[in-house]
Amino acid sequence: MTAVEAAGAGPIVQLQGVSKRFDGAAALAPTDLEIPSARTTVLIGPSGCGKTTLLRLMIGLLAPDSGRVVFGREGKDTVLTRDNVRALRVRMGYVVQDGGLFPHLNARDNVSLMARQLGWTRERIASRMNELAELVRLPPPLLDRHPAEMSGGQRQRVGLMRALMLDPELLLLDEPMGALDPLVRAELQDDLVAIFAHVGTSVVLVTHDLAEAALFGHTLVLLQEGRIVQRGTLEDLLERPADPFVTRFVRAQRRFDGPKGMAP
Amino acid sequence: MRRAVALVFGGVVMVVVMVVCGTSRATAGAGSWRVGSKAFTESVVLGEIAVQLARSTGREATHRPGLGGTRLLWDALLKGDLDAYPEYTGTLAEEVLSDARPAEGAGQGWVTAALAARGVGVVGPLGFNDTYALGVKRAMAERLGLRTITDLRRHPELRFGFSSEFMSRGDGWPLLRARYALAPADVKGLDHDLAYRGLASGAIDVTDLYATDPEIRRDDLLVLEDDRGIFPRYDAVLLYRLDRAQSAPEVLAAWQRLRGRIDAGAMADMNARVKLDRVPEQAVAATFLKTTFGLTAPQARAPGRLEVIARYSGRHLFLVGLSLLAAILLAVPLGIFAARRRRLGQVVLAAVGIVQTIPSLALLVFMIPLLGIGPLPAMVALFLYSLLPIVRNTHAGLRGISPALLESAEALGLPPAAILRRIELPLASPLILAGIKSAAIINVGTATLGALVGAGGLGEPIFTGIRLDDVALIMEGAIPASALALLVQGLFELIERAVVPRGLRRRDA
Repeated sequence: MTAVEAAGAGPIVQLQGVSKRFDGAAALAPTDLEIPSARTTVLIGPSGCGKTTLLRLMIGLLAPDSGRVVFGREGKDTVLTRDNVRALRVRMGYVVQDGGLFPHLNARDNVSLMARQLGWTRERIASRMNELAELVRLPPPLLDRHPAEMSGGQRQRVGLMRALMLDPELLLLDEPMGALDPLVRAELQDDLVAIFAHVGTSVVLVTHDLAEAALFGHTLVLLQEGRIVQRGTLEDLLERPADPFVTRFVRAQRRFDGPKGMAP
Repeated sequence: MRRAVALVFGGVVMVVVMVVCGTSRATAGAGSWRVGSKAFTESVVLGEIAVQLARSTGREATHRPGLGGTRLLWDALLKGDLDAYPEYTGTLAEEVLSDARPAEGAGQGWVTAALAARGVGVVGPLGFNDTYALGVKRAMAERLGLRTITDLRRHPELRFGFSSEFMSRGDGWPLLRARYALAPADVKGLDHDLAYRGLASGAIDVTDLYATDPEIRRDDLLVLEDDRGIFPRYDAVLLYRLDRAQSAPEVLAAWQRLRGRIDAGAMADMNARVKLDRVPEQAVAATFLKTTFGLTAPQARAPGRLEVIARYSGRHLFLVGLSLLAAILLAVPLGIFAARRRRLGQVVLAAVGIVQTIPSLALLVFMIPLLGIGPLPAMVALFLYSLLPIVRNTHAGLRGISPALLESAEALGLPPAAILRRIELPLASPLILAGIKSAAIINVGTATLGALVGAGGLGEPIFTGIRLDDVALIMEGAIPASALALLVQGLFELIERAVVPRGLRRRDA
């Protein structure tokens, strides 16, 4: 139990003995994990370590083979099931690598899609839209463009707006910067840090980049081959590695990326 | 949502226009006598004579000329879609009633009895026997004193040229040679049209023909009498529904006046006036009735060419539009179903694929016993043909959507119906629309065959033109049909602009 965890108001999501196999191969060994609320948790690890699987289990895009996913808010816990998954997804925001925008809708319609489905008034949608455009620093005229007419960074900002539209309790991001070139990436990273701080919502972010993880994460969860190897702060990983793999992973990242903000 | 409304609205407007254009002359009065005829000149002339005679009694009568074949007319008569049509005794005995045929030597009476058992009465014989016959040039016949086939035996030096069919048929040349003991020095087989030309140029002296061919007059030929009676009789008769005649005996009485009044010469002459002089069948029939019975049947005003083309085109659009609308309403849901349920989907795709392999003419003929003649069987056939392109494209459009996009939609918490309506159908719309477009364009072409089952449309001038060997008339149907196909294509490009989301349209670059 770290100081970071104690600062939260209880977990927003709990994974209890959750496991998942694909075609007989274990993608995730039985795992327990609590995601603290109002904090940013980073799932990190090499390709195929199960971090994306973990994220998809949280939003119910995958059903666990064993165990259960509990979505909680202020002591009111709900076990994720087939029947309530759609209602719970409305309380989550989900951003994927390329933004996952619908090519037939312009940015505005992409962002407002679910709000319109829920019957929001035009005024309410417009006001929320302006708020979000300002927050993600997207020039409003771009809202009338279609995804094909925008840059990768702009698409990602729209994707974020769509995820934030309904003011979710939990924001899930799967390698949101994965497809961006370094300059755009750095700019968006800085903006995201500011946005998360402003919104104050619970965030789970998947990345394989330790520097990025350090930038966002209150809590880092390092995975290897479908198992959580260590969870803690960056400092914990650097100073108190739970496993030789942790040291290897940290070293490999340092050698190639020269991550900023990692100096002890 | 706006786009879905635009799609439905565009489709409805298009179909309403087509239907309004087409219904102007879609139905004839219920009490009207409906007379059909086969797709050759003689039958159409006889049908027209029957119609005008019926009208002379004050009754209403309509003619459905040039229907595609004996079986079709016979079925339509039995079903009550037609009240009468001209037929030949030989065809009745050999083809229509062949399974009711008694053992040899039963005489001719069985045909009338068999017809009556099926609720069909006969007027006739009308006076001519349109069977195989041998023809020679009249000048030569007079010079050599030829009158009968037997007379040919005295002149073995004459050169015989027969159509290939006549050469090979058991009741053709083999029978003729055996029964008349003919032994000509020179016999060759050749094309029917070439035989007439050969006769005219003097390359051959004797050929086979039908007793009422118009060329008999054109080339001044003499038909030699079949004095041994070896060819089966093809006496022209008029078939009618007995129940219908009971309710209007005066029509039957008018038709009975035709018995024995049309001899082979008169019929050949009428055929020649239509085929060689390009006189409309109505006028030829009217002239015959005037000279034979002194009847002046009220003549309908002959509509102008443009009016005729507009009417045919309107009916054509009606056939295509209504069948297409029905096909869309079924095929799009079927395509969605096929995309959702893999295994059953393959069954659906295979089924609509098989329908597509049925030749259009065969499909039309299958429809007759079920749906009779007129626009309905044609529309059902067009409907069935439209299914494949639309089902297949809907299926392909939905299956082609990237799984990542569908997952994005799911992750938003959209219910399945909303995903279908807001995401999947718009993403698939370019392909779905392309499927509907190809169905529409293909059907504009296929609908011309509808004329063979009495559906009307642009096939009517085309097939009449083919029958009369009249290129101008063929063009009256073919050119508007091509124009319609282009128009439909243009229309769909407009609809595409309204329906397909901007983000999915091809960029002009």
